[in-house]
Amino acid sequence: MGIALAVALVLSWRVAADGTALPTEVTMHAHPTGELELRPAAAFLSALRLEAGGPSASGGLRLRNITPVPLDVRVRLAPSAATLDRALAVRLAAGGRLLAGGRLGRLRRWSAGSLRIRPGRSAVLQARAAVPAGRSAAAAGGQDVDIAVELQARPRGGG
Amino acid sequence: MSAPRPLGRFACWAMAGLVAGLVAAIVLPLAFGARPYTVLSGSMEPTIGAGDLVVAERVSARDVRLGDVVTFEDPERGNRLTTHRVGGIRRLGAKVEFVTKGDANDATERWRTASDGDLGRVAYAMPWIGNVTALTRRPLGFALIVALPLLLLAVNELARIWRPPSAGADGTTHA
Repeated sequence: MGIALAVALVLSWRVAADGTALPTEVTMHAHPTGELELRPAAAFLSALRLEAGGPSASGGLRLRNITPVPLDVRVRLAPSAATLDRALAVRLAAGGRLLAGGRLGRLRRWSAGSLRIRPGRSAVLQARAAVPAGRSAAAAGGQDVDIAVELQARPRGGG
Repeated sequence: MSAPRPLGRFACWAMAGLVAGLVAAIVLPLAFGARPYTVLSGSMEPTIGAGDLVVAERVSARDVRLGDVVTFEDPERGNRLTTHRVGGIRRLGAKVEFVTKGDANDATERWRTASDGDLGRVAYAMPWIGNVTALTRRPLGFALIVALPLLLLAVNELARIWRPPSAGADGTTHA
C-alpha cells in the first residue's frame, strides 16, 4: 500500500516538457540616406513576443524622396546577429508589391526588386516578420535581434 | 479494544512502505546515472519550489527538446548548477546552444555545450524532500532525522525484550 502510494506520488511529480519555445524579440529600424527622409526615425517594427507558428508582426516606414529626380530604392537587411537567419521569415513590400521576402539570412543582399519614388513623393515600406512553425523554430526561442534595413536610392536610370 | 492494533500495524507498514518507496525513488535512479539535486531557489515556481528534490536523468545534449527542464552549469554564474526550462535550441556543428529560463524569471541564460555531451534532464521533482536531505547533511539535522528515530527504535526493541510478559485482556499472552 505504502509503496503503491510512493509510486503514485512519484508519477504525479513528473516534470513534463511543455514543448514551447521562448518568445522571439525582433526590432527593425532603417539607416537614413541623403536622398530619403524616413519616418519614423526610430524603430518602425518592434515585436517583443513573436512565437513560432503565431501571428506575424508588422510595421511601416515612410520614405520621402527629397531629391529633384525620381529614385529607385532597393533594400537589404543587416541583422545584429545571425541567430535568426534560418528561423525568421521577413517580407518587405510597398504598394502591394513585394520587394524582398524569405528567411532573414537570404535578405542580406540587395533586393532584386526596387521601389520607385517620384520627387517630393512618399511611399510606405511595409515590413512583416514571423517565426514559422517547423524544425527551425526551436532556434528562434529566446533570441533577440535588431535588424537594420539598409536603403539604396539611385536616380532612375542612373548608375 | 483489539481493533486499533491491526489498523495501527497496517498504518505503520504503509508508512514504512511509503518512506521506502520514496527513498528508492531517489536511490535507484543513481544506478542508471541519474543524480538528485536539491533546489535552492524559487526560480522554477510553481513547477519546482525551493527545497524540492529533483532527480535528473543523464541524456545527450542532442536529445534535449524544447520545454525540457535541465540541470546545467551556468557559465554566467561561475558554473553554478542551475535547473531551468529550455526555451531555445540552436545546433552549431559540434556544439549546441541553449536558451533557458526559470518559469518564475524574466531573464534568460544562453550557454553552449558539446553536442555529444551529457545533460541532466529533470524526470521528477519531489516537493520538500530536498529540505530533508539538506537537513541530514547538518549534524543536528542528521541527529533528528536519522539518529533519533534509530535510537527510539533501539530503545523500543530493548524495552520489548526486557519487559516481562503480561496477560492480555483475553487472558492470552503474546510472545
